[in-house]
Amino acid sequence: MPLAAVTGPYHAIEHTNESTGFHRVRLARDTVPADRDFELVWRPQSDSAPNAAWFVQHKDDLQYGLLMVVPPQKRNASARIARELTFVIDNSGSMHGDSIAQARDALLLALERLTDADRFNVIRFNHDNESLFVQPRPANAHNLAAARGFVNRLRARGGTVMLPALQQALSVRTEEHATAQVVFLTDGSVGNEKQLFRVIRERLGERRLFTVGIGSAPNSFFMRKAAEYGRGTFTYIGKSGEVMEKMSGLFRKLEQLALTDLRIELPPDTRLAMLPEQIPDLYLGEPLLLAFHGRQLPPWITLHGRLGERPWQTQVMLEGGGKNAALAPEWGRRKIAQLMTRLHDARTTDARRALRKQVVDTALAHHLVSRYTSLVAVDVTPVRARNELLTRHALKTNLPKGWSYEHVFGAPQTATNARLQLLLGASLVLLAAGAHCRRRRARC
Amino acid sequence: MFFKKGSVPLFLVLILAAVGTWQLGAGTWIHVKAQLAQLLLARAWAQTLTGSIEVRPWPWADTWPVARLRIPSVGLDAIVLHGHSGRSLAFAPGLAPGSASPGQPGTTLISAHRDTHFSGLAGLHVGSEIELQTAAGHWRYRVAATEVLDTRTQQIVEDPLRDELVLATCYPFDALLPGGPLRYLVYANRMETDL
Repeated sequence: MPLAAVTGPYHAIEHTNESTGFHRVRLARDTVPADRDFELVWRPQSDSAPNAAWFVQHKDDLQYGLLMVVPPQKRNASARIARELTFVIDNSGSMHGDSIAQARDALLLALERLTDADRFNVIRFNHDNESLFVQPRPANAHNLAAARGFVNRLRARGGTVMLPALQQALSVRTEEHATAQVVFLTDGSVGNEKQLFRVIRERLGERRLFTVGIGSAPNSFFMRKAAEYGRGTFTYIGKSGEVMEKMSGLFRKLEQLALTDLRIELPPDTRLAMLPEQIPDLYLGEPLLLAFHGRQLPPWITLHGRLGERPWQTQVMLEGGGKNAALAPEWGRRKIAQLMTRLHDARTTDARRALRKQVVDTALAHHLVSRYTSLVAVDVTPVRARNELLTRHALKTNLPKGWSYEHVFGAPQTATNARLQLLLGASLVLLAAGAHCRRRRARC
Repeated sequence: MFFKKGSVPLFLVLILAAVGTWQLGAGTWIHVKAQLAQLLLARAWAQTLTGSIEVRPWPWADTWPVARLRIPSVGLDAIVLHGHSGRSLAFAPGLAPGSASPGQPGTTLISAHRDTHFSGLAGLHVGSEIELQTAAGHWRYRVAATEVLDTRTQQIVEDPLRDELVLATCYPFDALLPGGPLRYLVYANRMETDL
């Protein structure tokens, strides 16, 4: 698979094309502070993007497989679908400042992209909630103007009570044959996560929930999970400059027909584990990535799904396949993510303990970092005399880029303008009294 | 004066009096709110002590009581809220998110406004005693040091090994304008004798 470009958006990298099929990537600088994720982006040359790719690894009598399928893109890009969109926006006090401005911009952009075929509604919440319309209404000029006014009037204040707004968004009766999408804009500072997850699971129905995280440090755990339960995606907007790009990306996706209800069919008598267990919806141009694990990998699998009203299926032959030593760890990572979700949902201490053990076992088997395991480097050069006692001390770690101690752990604003106001008030009242005396020509 | 005798317009007098009264009211309100909120917090704090967690003092609050701070020598007795955003500091001192829980190794950082709850901090000296109570227990601290810190160049550094309480407020105490970069810090170490 020839590559058109290899880039590292957050680090300067040097990339050399070694020999056929091998690429060497290294940091341009020898040492960099470990204060952000390393992201590597590569793009295949456009004419060589495959429709399917299959990799295998054989390890300890077990087989690991990774399948990538790009669904055919014969859809007409201009053929947009009729949708029913509900926007839910958080205007609680924690959104104060940049966050609410970003959320407003994102929402205005969303309204701009609606067409006559769409119906929509906007719900805002802080400690109470308010809905623009009782029922979703057609996106005509009149309704859109009302929505823009509603959005522009949003100010961040008050507490966060998310549940009723979520219940309302997931309870309005949806129009038949319309794709129902809920877009949730919040920083996710909530305490009752489990209750919210339950509502999403129970009431979702045919809808899809898309979460948009706003602000410098939103509760990504909540929003990622909410999107997972809501069978949608999570989009993170870190700074104002990204609103346009990230929201356009999300809405382009939502405007197209998605491949839904995806499931796989295996040859009879095949025992095979697959992750993710439930295949998410696929939007235009997105590849499907499935990891497999078992004693014997099957010769073929069939994918079934639905493209709008029409059924869709494709059969993939799993023969040959490139050897790749990264598949077992990849399986391990997916397994740990799955176990951590279950651990979060587990109700009893015993269940949690058992799941925790499974996470540790999986992490150790594949040498992975998890909530409970770390990679430890041992310096073999002794620096401590044998007869000295060990001491314990903590090591400083780098803060995430762009954060400062002042904001993370430190100095909030701890003065009010009470003194200033009292002084100013007293002076003005005295001045008024003096002026009053002069008017009356009285002796004061 | 700027006007001749008898020439001061009535509307000007009224405006001066109105703005003055409004400013006096707003300034007083900050103090009233700080005192009044403590009364409202008492019920939520009582529930917290009986084992409930994250008891919101009023339905739309996005914070909850986590501790009670007493400094007998300066007459301070206040319920501490979770988080130190400007909104919660108007009601009560705030426990920094990420702070160590009292009684655990590490730094417990509590901030409050210099003109309301922490106005008495200037009167604390090395050796003064501070009491801190949470649902998990009751601890005594002794003031070890005080310091003025410039947030433009310095940081409050957590010491993960010591049981330390840090009280922070704005400095200087009698500055007229809010928003300055200086902070007054009181460092106190936990005493072995628990209450």
